[in-house]
Amino acid sequence: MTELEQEIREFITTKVKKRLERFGLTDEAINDEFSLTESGVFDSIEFVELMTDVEHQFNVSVNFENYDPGEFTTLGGFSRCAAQG
Amino acid sequence: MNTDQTHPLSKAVIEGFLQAAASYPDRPALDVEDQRYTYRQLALKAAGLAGAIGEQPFQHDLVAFLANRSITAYAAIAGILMAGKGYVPLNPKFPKERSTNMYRQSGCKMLIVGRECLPYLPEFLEALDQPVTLLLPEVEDPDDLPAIPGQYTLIIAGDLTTPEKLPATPEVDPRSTAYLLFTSGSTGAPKGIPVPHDNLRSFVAYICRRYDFTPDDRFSQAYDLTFDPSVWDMFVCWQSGACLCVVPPASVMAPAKFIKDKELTVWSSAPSVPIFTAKLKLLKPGAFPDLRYSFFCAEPLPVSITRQWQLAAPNSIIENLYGLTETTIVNTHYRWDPENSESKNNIVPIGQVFYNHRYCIVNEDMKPVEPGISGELCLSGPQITRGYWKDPEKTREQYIAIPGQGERIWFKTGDVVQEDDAGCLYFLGRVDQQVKIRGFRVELQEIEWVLRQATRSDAVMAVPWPVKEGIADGIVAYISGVPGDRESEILTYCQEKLPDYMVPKRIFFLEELPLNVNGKYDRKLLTQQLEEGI
Repeated sequence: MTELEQEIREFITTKVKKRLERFGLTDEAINDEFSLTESGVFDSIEFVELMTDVEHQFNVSVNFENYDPGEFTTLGGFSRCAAQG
Repeated sequence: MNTDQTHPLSKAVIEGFLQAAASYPDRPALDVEDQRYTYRQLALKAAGLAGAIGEQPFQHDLVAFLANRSITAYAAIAGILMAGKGYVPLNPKFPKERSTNMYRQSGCKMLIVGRECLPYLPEFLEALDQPVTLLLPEVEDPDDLPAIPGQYTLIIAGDLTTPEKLPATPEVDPRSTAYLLFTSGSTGAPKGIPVPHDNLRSFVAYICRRYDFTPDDRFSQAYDLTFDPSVWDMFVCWQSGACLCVVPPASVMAPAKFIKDKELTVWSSAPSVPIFTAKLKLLKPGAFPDLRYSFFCAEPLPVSITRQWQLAAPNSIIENLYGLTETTIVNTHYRWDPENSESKNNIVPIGQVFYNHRYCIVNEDMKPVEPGISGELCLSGPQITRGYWKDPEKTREQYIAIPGQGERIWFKTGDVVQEDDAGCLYFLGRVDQQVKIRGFRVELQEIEWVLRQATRSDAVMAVPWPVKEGIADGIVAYISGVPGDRESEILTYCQEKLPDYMVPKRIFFLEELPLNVNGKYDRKLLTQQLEEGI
């Protein structure tokens, strides 16, 4: 894992934890396979906002074109795609 | 089976599928979870389930299934119809309380469960707390099952008999229920809408006459099976002898790669899907050259996204469709013309009513409006269902006679439309508090009912937000008389009662909710404040 990928992963994890707290849930299930969308933590519009936030924060251009949504909607997959640009 | 003798029996709606299975037994009927099933394979699997259903000592008109985007889901639908019954889909994404409410309301005695839903089964049965016959076609050994509470009779894979040849189409009362779906209800419980075989047959026949689908087509199946446009995908596809390609859960809101990989020729979804795809920068010019048809329904279709989709699918005809579950899926169509199409509020028209239906636009006094004046759309014709499930009062409110329009029954859609000189209809909004969230039909009163239960406060209000080009992305809630530190508890309660798209994204705690001049809570003002970022 590159340094950038690790930073993006931490950035997203913080956001996930905050959202889980709002619903009174624990963060035990947060691993690389954690689905950001199917878990209900991010709905579709919030997922787009997450992408934009990551682009602004890390000055990257996220390109999901060659990735399967089953991959880029997970914590690990999103971080990897975003870091690779 | 419904045995009302006043209606001669006719072939069940599954006839189209079985005819395709006889004509094209080795062609693909279903592509799901990266496996392909031919018409013969799917028909025989379904026939095995139909046999088990028919052997039950206590027969009921309806059979439920709990399965999601799997072979069991589609075999269950075909099998239930082959048994001469109607199907009731349950959704594992819904809270268990909602699903058990739907099952209880339906009166079903049997539940078919897909392998993917087995982890959900114990909590469902615990909440259901009534005897049930479980049909588990993918379970070989009962010891593989999780601990299941309650009283149940078990039918597993080894108990099923797969016939050697395709079954004949059963004959049913044409007015009996082909499927029972539930939508958001304003009184806090889901509202059932039974759709008869003759309605669905009329719909499928109309659609297959209008479009030139062939066995070479590859249809998308993006909608959840609890949402009625899914019925469009399945029965129109199978009537055409084509292949139904089931979009995996993770790809539903971003299907670009799936459309390309599966070489789809027919796409159907709510407009939210291309909107989200575009936001992810995945809607690129020329991306979908194989698409011949693209159909959008379930919410307003913005002109901007239609133009983008046309660039991505340059060889596709794009149609905007409109209808309701009560009127059997779709009743109008509008063919998009990039050069000449007109719009109102940047929303694509809903177009012409099916030629075998009548429409009437009425004012608040239920009198037809003058040409060009907006009013509520009422529909009448062979696809209009006969009422809500076990709710005669609600049925009387919505299925009405219009003075001066003869004795025919009209369905009051609740949708405000305007007609132009050419008979083209434009959708302008709703007469009530029903909204669409990502294509799903939502009664704001149902959310408010749950909020009142959660807070024990009557001062609650649900507001669709944000709304862009007529499409709402979510809900925010306003509550007064309740301390703000209860947000987590209230949201958790909402999650237990409501599907995810109805759970508020944010809760604002106010000292008092604002009132309008009529002394009612002022939803407009709250929406305006959201727009202004207050």
